[in-house]
Amino acid sequence: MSAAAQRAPFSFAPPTGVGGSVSNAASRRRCARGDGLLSAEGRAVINQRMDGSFELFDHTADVGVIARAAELRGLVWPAAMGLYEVIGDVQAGGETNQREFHLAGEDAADMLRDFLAELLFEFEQHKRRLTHLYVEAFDEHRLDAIASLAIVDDQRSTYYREVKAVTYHELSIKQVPGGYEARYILDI
Amino acid sequence: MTDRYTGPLERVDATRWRIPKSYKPGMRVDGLIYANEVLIEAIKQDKSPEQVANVACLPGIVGHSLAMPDIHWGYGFCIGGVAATDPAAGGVISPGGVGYDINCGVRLIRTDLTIDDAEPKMTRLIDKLFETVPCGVGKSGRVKFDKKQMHRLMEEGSRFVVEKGYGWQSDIENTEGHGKLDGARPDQVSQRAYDRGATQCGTLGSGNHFLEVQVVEQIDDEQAASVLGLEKGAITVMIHSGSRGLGYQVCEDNLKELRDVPRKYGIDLPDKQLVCAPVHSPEGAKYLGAMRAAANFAWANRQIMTHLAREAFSDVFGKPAERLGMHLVYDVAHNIAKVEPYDVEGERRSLCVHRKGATRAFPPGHEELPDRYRSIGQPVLVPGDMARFSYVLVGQAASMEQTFGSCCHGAGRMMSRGAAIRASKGRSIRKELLERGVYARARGRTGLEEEQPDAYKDVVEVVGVLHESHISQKVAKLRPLGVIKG
Repeated sequence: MSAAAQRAPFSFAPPTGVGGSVSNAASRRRCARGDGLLSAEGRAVINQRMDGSFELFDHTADVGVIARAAELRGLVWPAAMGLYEVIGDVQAGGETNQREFHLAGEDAADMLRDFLAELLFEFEQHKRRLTHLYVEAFDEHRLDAIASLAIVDDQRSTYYREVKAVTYHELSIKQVPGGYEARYILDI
Repeated sequence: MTDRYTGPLERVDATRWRIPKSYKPGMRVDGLIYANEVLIEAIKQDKSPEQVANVACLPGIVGHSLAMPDIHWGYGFCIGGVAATDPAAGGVISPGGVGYDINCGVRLIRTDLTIDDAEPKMTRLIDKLFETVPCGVGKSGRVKFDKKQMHRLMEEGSRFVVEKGYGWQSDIENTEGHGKLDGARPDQVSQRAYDRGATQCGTLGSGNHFLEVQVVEQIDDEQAASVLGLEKGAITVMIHSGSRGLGYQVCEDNLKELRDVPRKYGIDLPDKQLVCAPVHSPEGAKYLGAMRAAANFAWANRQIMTHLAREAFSDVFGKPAERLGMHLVYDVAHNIAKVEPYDVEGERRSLCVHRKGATRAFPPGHEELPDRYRSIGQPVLVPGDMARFSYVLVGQAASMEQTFGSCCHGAGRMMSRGAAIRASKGRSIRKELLERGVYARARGRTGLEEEQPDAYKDVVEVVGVLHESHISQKVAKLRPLGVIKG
């Protein structure tokens, strides 16, 4: 963590919606996190609170995730929590760093998938998981976010399965009564 | 669980069902599914036949959009799908037709050990294999390669690691394509893929990947079994794994890069996951080069695990692997795209054959087979499930006439992972396997539950369809004794 970040107040909040298994019919989780994130430069504390939920659905050899939120940008956090739920009970350790995401495109679902693929790479290669998220903008053309990523505590984590990829198969974001719904399928 | 397929399935004969190209706009050829009456009912329970129809829309597709009897719902292509395209006629290459786990495949090692030798030591043997062969989420391999070595490994495949001491020369001869695809372009592989692969060569992974110790339960073809070095009661080792994070990253990178390419070439697709590029285009060539590099990595991966398995056997049985007769019978790829020559309508054409959960099954006499197997046909390795059987078959002539030299790759899932876990509630799958004579070790918490035998079709039915179709012929049935999983 940078010196600036160490000086600023940083509220670490272990995410909810982590743990459980695909088997749990009630694997629908409510998540309300993403608050207390520093800007990338560590200059200010940004507060963002958005409620959302996710649930897992069956796919013959793989596993699907449905994320729901009142706002489009509120989908990003529960979609990410769905990814970790499939991997296992992934516990964050101490060391944290921040990463900015600036994704551009023509399709919100593609950009959400790209973001999730980045999180998967962070987990696979650097053993880091998302702990806080500030989504500055998310629409049809861009996804701008600041993420706080913590080193995973292997001793306290339990892994269920390796996720190979976030696929494009039946990938979608649609408006539903009360907000938005994103669907994606993970290759196991 | 998932939507059922409700479209047309016309019976062609005892083992084939057609989806006519009139089913949906854009289909260029018919779909053709290999199944018997029992299997076709299971196949209709998900959308995989719809995916067969979608693949039939790919530009340049030749013959039929094919599916083997182990077909199940995949992403883009179904698992168990085979599609050949003609590059000279605008045929495309689709990363979705290969899958994320490029050159996922199976290899079989024979031994001189009998069940009487092995059974008393099975627990120790499986524990030793579990300790020796890295498996599970995030496990690094014992061997690490720098970038220069990785580049060579992706060019040379099995040979590179055998020359470093991880195997025998005969392993190379008994691997499909000598453990190497020509035309690999490691320079087209991203730094991320290099990074993910550098520490993962020689690791099993997770999901349906496994290392299994088996006994030859039954011989169906004495002559072919003798050529393959298999005898009733003998111990074998089967390894199922692929290109690990390197292959996943190659697929991920190329799917992303190809996202807008269909529009560039005026290709209309029914599913985003089918993104593709003409084989003869810069984008198609780039993917092919990177895919071949990842395929070579996968062969090196299985080769290193072969070496580790030999070490474990040697330790437990107190003899060098050579004296245990641990020769590689064969290694097959089942997620791959290859350019192969076929006779189409009386003309010799080079086709790009996608095998996504399908195994090559060349017949006797085929020039690509090692000399020792040319008289019997290519060995086809078909794993079943953890408690029932796996099969060794050999390719037959009908494979060249009907399926672009292809066969099934396994039993095929019929239960989702979630359903399998729900079905395990209150049970100990490990204990149940033990009662059926199988000692299992798994790293992941839900691995055994998700991969329990009931989650799969009966491999006997699956293999029976291809035997009856003369695509391949049964040689030996293998029964599991112990298994390690990620």
